[in-house]
Amino acid sequence: MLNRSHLNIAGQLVILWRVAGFEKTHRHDKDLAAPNGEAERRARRALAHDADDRDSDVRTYAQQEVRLWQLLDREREKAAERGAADAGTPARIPAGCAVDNQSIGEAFARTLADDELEQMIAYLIHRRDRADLDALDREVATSNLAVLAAESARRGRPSGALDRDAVRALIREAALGTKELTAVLQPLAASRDGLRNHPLTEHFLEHAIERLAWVADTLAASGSYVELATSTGGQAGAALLAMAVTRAQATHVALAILRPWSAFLQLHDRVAMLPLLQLEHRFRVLDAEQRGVNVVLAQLTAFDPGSVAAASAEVPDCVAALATAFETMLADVEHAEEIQRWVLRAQLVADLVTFAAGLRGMFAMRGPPSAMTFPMPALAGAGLGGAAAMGQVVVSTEWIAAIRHLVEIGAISVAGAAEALRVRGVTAAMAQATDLPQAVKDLLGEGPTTDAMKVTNATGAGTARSPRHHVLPQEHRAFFEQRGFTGDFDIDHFTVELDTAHHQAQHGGGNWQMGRKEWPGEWNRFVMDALWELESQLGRRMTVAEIMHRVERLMKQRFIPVRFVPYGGG
Amino acid sequence: MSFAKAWSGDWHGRILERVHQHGFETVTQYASERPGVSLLVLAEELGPDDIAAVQIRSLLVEEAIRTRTLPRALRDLFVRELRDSLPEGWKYPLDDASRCEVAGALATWKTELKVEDHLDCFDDESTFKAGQDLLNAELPDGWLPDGPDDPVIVSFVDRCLGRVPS
Repeated sequence: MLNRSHLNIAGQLVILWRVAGFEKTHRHDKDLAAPNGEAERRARRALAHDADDRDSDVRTYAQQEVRLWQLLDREREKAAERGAADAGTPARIPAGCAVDNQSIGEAFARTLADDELEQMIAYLIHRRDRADLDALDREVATSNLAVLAAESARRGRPSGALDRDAVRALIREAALGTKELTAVLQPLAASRDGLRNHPLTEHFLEHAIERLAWVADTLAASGSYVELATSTGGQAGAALLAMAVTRAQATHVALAILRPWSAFLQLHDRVAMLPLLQLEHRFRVLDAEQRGVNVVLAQLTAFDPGSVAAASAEVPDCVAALATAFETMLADVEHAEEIQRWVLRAQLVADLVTFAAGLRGMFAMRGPPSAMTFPMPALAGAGLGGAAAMGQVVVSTEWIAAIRHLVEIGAISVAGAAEALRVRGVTAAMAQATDLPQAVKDLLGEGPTTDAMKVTNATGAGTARSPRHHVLPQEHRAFFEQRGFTGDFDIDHFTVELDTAHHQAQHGGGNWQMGRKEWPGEWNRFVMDALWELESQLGRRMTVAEIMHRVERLMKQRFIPVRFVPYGGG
Repeated sequence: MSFAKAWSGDWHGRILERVHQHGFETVTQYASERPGVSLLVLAEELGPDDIAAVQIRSLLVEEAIRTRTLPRALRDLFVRELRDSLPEGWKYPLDDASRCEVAGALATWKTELKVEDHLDCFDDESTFKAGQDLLNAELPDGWLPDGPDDPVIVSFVDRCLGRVPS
């Protein structure tokens, strides 16, 4: 299962962390003692500051580790349950049906009733993803699925199975990217000769691993929302799917920046092994670039669609800056070698330059290697130098199809989709060659920051944000925690933003409170009373999906938008 | 924009105006023409972006209090809630998901009237018992009440109001 596999990556990271130990024993502490006036004092201040950070990091790590293991356990349980559910899927397909080994046509698809169509779509998705089947059988499933998907689109009826599959496609791609970067960072963490030979530089590696663990964590959350959306259905299901998409997008943006950042760290790891450049210089370069990376990453943690899109818009500049810094660092090394002219080092530097050439591809903005390959002319702008020239943009057709589908069902905005594509280096010209919605193609032509983006950005920054309200009352947090609203399903994730800016609330003359306030004053009491009453009749606790399903209905009846944003996000 | 639109201005007046446009004097008359239809559907019909379902309920209750027809109005509302929650109809014995739907219809119905319309007509203890009996009722497959005069509903609501000894 998807969640399980990427969580294994997170698990690996944690294990890696445990094995590597990261004790504070370092070989070159004396480097810092070089009498270098102001520069040294600055580095020492940075070090002192670092130490504070490190303590809090250790705590964060411990928490993160516990959380990751809990997630792993939960996922295992869920996978076991799902395994049973999945086994039942094929039974629902009518006997004698030829979808397994024959290509079906449009005419056949048209004869299916709506629910048969949906069932068959779910069945074929399941079949297409079954690793134990023949490649040929899976191809048949893929092509039959395409016929049924076209039929579903023709009927204009939403297909929950296709919607969820599109989100899963985004998650899968991000999981592959996470795996790739884990493999990059693993040897760096395992060796004490490179970045880890000094606490100053080791810190950068810790930071990158921590961010990657965040990506894995976020992907797990995204997967959990998809699962819950499956059992909840309805508008609440759609809202949960939108939450899943926001998180999946956040991980894509994070990976787009972590990828070149990891390459930059790889280079520094090698440079750290050569006694050519001073530690303090290397620290300053890393520190400056890490700030840029953090600016982008910090905007993602709120999981606000607006700030994710805003962060996404900043990625190309940030990658370009990293590419420049990469080339500069390489030039510094060569220059230092020229001055010092030590024969032995000349060989080492030559090795380093060869190694670096292989890293340049990491600065091309692309996802995991898949079907669709574009040359990358788009980024050959100022300041990018050799790094850009080496790369190409690769986007899978599956990913493009997923984005298209999510735009169509409204789970991702057109502007958001344009940013998601742009962050992969897809330009308007490339997009024309695909079957993306015209609106997305149009937006791609408009440069990285459209007006719409600026507006969401300002809102996201809190300047014009409407108040957010807990749908599940905060004062009864314990009640919801007992029913499974913890972690990814914490009630803080289920808040709504009401359009109260022009709200000239006047009490309409009735004998209850709704119209008086930005938020229905009696909502909290009402929701809790209703849930208690329901449970007492039912004689058991409700599940997360049951509560969401019921609360969605209550929201709709009051015109409260079923669109969740994280509390305190943005 | 719907939330702000629906809850600003004189929404009572707005609903009455739309009802008049449909050729009815009162909201009760309008709703009676469509027994068992969900209030969400009626709200969608009267004002897709500025009338909320619960507002219609609130007016129905007000009118019923004025005309002293509250029990009938309560039955009417419960029928709409139940049909909306269990569209496929009864299937004895109710499975877990259906039990949750029926209990949800009951809980929403009672709590809305109690908390939002400030009605104190419910007898909590008999409502609980009546609810338990309803959940276990051996009703014909596909059963759904047509309107407020369905005998199952009449007896159920009477018990909730404490009018019949449980």
